[in-house]
Amino acid sequence: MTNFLQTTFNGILTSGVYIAVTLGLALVFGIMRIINFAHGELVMIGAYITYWMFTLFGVNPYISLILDAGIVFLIGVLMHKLAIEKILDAPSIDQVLLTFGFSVLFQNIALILWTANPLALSRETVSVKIGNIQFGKDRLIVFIIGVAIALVLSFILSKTKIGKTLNAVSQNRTASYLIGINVPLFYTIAFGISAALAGIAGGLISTVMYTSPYVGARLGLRAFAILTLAGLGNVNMTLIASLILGLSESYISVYVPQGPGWAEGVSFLIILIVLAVRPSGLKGMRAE
Amino acid sequence: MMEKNNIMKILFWIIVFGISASIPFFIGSYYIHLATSVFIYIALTIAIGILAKTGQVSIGQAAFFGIGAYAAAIFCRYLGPLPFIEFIIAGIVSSIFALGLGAITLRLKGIYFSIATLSFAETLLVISNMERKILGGATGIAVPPLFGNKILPNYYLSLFLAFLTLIIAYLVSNSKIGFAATVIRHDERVANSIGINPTKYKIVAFLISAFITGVIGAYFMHYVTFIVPDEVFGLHISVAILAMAIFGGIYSVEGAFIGAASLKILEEYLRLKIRYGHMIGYGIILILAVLFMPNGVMGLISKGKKGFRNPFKSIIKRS
Repeated sequence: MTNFLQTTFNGILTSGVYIAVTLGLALVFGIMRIINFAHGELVMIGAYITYWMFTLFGVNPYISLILDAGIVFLIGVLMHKLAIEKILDAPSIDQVLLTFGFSVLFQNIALILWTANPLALSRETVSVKIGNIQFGKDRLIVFIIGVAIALVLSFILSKTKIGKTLNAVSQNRTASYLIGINVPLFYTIAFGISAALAGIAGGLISTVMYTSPYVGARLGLRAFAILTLAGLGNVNMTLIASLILGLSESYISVYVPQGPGWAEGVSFLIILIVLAVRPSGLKGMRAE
Repeated sequence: MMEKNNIMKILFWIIVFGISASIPFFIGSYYIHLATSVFIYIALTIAIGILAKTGQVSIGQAAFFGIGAYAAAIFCRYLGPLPFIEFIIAGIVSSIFALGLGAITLRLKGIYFSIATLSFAETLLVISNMERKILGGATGIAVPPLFGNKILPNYYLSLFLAFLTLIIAYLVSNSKIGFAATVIRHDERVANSIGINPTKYKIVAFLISAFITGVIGAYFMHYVTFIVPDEVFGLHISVAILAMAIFGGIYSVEGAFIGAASLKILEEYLRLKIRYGHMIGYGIILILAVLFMPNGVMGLISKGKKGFRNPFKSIIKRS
């Protein structure tokens, strides 16, 4: 029973990481209808920034989050201005190929710079014990920050003027122009914010996982699964989908022989099943 | 009646074939190995093109490559090495899986098709890594080489497979399937209205593409005499095939030839230069090709400067 509680709790904590990674992906897809295949790699960049700030200068990983957000925001803006913006009206497959190209590019730059060695922050990990459940303090902090960002984002999107503008732009680009919204600027900002969120997610995961050039790809694919499962425009559903993925991976890891290996496949299976059942695409997708 | 254009094309390919068949006499064994892998990738790139013609761009071609390799390896283990029968079996098994995946992906468009094919390949990667009894787990399966692992027969077999694939691709694109595929890619409703059943042709293209990819997987497995999951199901294979197809021009057979040959050589060059991250070339090529030449090298050749896209002109329409 203790084991079950512990496993459940681990799953919940892991879902916090997934939420953080998925938010930015969902934001860009919601506003621009583009799936950014390089999103995971932006997360990876954030993780490396935190790792090096800590290793070289001893900067607290949670303070580095600001830096992660800032630098990856700039990378996102550059990526949008130099490339994504040019193919907004191209067939969707061009957008897939372009962002996929960025994913391959970023991953290999990381490989060239830092090789494939997984790196971990070398610091004391503090363990917290509640009853019979034990977990790392960092994992709890990551979970709390992940959920907090989700709630803040949800609030911004639904209640503030910026959120309403973004909503308008995503619903009708032409009409948004007509009422004087600077659409290209908003797209750039949205893409930048999405990248910044990825950077923050990266900084968070560097405290609880190994940082490696492949970490982004692994998390990015899980974010696709969550997005596919959760549908769009609903942060609550994203939270639930993250929980489903985190918990099922956690249970499989513990209760299935060689579980950790099989757990890697859960997200792909979710994608295939959801697409088989609901081929018209994600919920909330505009009818066109 | 054969058009002049077609005769020129056939002549062109005969010359290319002749040159390809004679180069082993002029180059060392290292380069023959390189040329062999070029032909393997030419066949794979042509195969993704057959599928892409119907508007379905797969980023999980490694799935069928790996299925073919594993099917042949398992056949080989239980029934002994029977190379050509193995190849056919590998193709058939790949096609059967394609039929299964097709049932899901047929109704998917654009990004969803891409995500589904990617997930399919990654699922198989996980399964092949974990299943030990039949698939050998992460350590894979050892298989006997073909032709006692001699270089030349292997080279000529890869050459033969590449040109066989090329001929199949021409036959397909000049048949009703080729015409139907083009219509379907542009508009499925138009296809329906002129009596073309999109479902049927999309499945047929998927099956042909998977069959060829599976056969090449089986050949590759014998060529390297060992399969491990990541070498056949790995994302880097899908990336390479995709980049080659996009760079050459995904709808043309000549483009596949040019794309596969030039990028495989580039990859090999980078592999020798940099220890980690030699796949970077594929990333850069994908980005540049999508931004500047959406129809690939062949688009540039056939249209002159119009094949270029001018990315510095804002595309957002203000209408």
